[in-house]
Amino acid sequence: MNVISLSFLSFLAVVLLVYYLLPRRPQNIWLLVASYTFHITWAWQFALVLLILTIGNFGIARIVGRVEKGRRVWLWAGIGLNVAALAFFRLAAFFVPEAAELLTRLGFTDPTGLQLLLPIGLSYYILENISYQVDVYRGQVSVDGDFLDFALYLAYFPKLLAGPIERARSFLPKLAQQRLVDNDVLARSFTLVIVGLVRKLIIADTLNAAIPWDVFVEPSYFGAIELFGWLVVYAFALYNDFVGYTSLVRGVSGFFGIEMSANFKQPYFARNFTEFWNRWHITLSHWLRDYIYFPISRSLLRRNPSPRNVPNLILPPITTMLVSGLWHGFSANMLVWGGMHGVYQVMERLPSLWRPVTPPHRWPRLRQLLGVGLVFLFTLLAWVPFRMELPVAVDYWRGLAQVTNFAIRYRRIVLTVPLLLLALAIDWFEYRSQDETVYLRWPRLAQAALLAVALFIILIISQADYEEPFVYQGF
Amino acid sequence: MKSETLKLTFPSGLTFLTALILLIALLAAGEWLARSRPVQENLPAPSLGVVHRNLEVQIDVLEQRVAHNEAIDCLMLGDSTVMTDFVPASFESAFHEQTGKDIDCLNLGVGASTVASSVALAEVMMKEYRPALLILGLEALNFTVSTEDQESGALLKAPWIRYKLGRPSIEGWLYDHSRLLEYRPILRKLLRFEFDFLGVLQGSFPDESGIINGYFPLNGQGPFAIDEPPNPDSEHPFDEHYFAELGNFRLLPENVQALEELARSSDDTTQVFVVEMPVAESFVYYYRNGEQDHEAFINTIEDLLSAHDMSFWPTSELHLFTIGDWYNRNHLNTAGAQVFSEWLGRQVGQAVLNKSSLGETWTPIP
Repeated sequence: MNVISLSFLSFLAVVLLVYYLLPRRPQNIWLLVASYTFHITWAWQFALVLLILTIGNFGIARIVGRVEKGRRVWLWAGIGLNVAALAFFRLAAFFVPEAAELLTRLGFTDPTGLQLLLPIGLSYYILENISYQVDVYRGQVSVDGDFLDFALYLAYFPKLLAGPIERARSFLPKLAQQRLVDNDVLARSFTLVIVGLVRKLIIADTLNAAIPWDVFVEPSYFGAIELFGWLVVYAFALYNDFVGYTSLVRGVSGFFGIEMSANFKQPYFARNFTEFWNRWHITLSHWLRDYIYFPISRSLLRRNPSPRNVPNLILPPITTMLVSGLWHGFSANMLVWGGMHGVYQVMERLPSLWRPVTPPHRWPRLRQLLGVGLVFLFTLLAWVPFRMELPVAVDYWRGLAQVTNFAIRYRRIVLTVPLLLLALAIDWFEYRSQDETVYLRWPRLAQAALLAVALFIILIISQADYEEPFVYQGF
Repeated sequence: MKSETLKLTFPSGLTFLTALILLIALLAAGEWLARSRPVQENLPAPSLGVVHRNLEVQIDVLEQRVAHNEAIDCLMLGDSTVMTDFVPASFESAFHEQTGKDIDCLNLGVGASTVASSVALAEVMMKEYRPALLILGLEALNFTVSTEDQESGALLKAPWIRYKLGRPSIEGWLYDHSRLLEYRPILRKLLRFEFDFLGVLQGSFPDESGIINGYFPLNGQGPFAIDEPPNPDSEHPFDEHYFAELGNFRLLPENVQALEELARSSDDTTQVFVVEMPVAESFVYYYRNGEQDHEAFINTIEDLLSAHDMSFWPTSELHLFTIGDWYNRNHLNTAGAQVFSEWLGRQVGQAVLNKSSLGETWTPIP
């Protein structure tokens, strides 16, 4: 069941209606039932994988939290279980088609039983499981919690498809307390849903539809200016797709009185790459920071606490970003994408070897603007291997380097400008106010007019049998 | 039962209510605009929510005729063979030669139709437009495929068709009454860049129906050896489909019943003819029992229609075509389509002259 569909709307209405009538404890059981039902609408096997991993992780965490000896071994067993599950399903996607083909050649006429799909949301709840194990090991999460609450923490349907990646230490307490949905919460949640729909249906889907099918397949046919233009369009389409999804599901979760973490804070306004990763896919970035970057950095600083520790400058960001690349996909192009961001971070930290670092908000205004421009430009270059296979990506970079080629094949690129401006305007309002529901501060008539126009365009542009998946659903 | 979680205080939802009123106003303005002449003249044919664009385009032609109080003379329905084989201009000209009367015909062939879906469409057309003549073109495949099939059943699942057949739904009602909703797919395609937006701004919409001169022309010959039996090992989708369907030939009861229903509902307002859509001689090799199966198909229709005094014209014994007239074993190319349509025009013309086959109320355009 796609979260933008009439069936999801009906499902949500029924779940909410019953939810509001129940006291807190049965509410969690009801949400768990609803979440597994949502899972089963994709495939019952996915629900089974989730259930097995839930039981496995809960059991191992109890041992980690309670035994005196061998805690570390059990922690690694817990982490290993999750990494193995992710690796198994990710690798299966690569090797099963080949194995099926081999079996067909050997005379097995129907090897369809071999087909395995990456269970929906697996990449996201695997990270939640690992953080849970580590936090239990560190004593930051109690293991005396309820199994049903833990199961709901992993299965909670608004965050199932593509996050946000919640931490047990902040999410489990929300499940244990009484929830309140008052006028303010309802207005805020509704605003998040509408902004999410506008970003996804009006901006992201339209920009994606505008991108020519061949630009990311045969970039050598295009001039540099046009290649750059379509890369900008792709960057905004990807961003609005993901931020739209996050806004939508956070709004849905708000209807239940459960606040989920923000995942984006206007990343294209970032002035350096450290800031970019604190604004883009925040819950993943912070997960990687806490469970990859900091442990490596701490280990290196223990050996050499000097501020001019060069390995500490290079290894943590490079390793973290390579892991991020692998998490997005077991492929060379994703590794290159991660590697590029790792190198960007190393480069911007190099000056710290000989002078103190000044945070971006203290930079002169012109440098801040220049920083925004440079970060956006280098992020664009990194989106190239994120979007396409490596040989094509190389062609794309080559094409971008031919800066004197002004040829334009698809004139409709001009028509994407209003949408890019709309996307920037939404970000700008939110950036200036530091509030993603800034529209609620507008006069009532302005709010109502904006909502009516947004709903009108959504009604025109959307389909009942909506099938456009969210890009990050695929990870 | 009081909720412990939901605690709303009043006044609440005023903004939402205001937005709702504004939205209704916007929808009303959109509806007014969609009904305006400049929009109707410049936008392509509106959509009825059916997947067959050619049908929507042809129904728009019918609507325009109704709007100008013009009579609907004749419609031909069936599957893709009707789309490709029935040339209205050739039919009209042969009819004129035979009768001295002008007639205006429309090709309403719908790809992958079954008898049941063609008859459903025929019922809607007879009810809505009261054509003087309705010709149903049939081939054996129309009887073997169930309307449960995703492609063939698509027409019957369309909310507008269902609504017109007396199965009410909000979507069906909206398609029938809201011009804005009918233009929504066009606007959606515009906003999703499915049309060349700049070209559209300059006034040219691409034709998505494939209809040229009132039918769906196939040029030349497809990659088929028409004069040879089809190869059962062929991987061509046409061959695979025909072998799969006709290799286990059976007349599905839902399709036979549908034809019987049409025969029963034929009245004085609309005269219904049924014609076998031509197939090449080598087509019979798709059947498991060859000629025997094909004869069973012809005999069943003949028996069924003669019980209701309806005309049925088989074409397999007529030898109207040369090898060069075929695109594949059951679709004619432009040359063959012209031959077939002229023959059909003479047949129907003869029936008109005989009078016995035409209702009293029919008056072709003089």
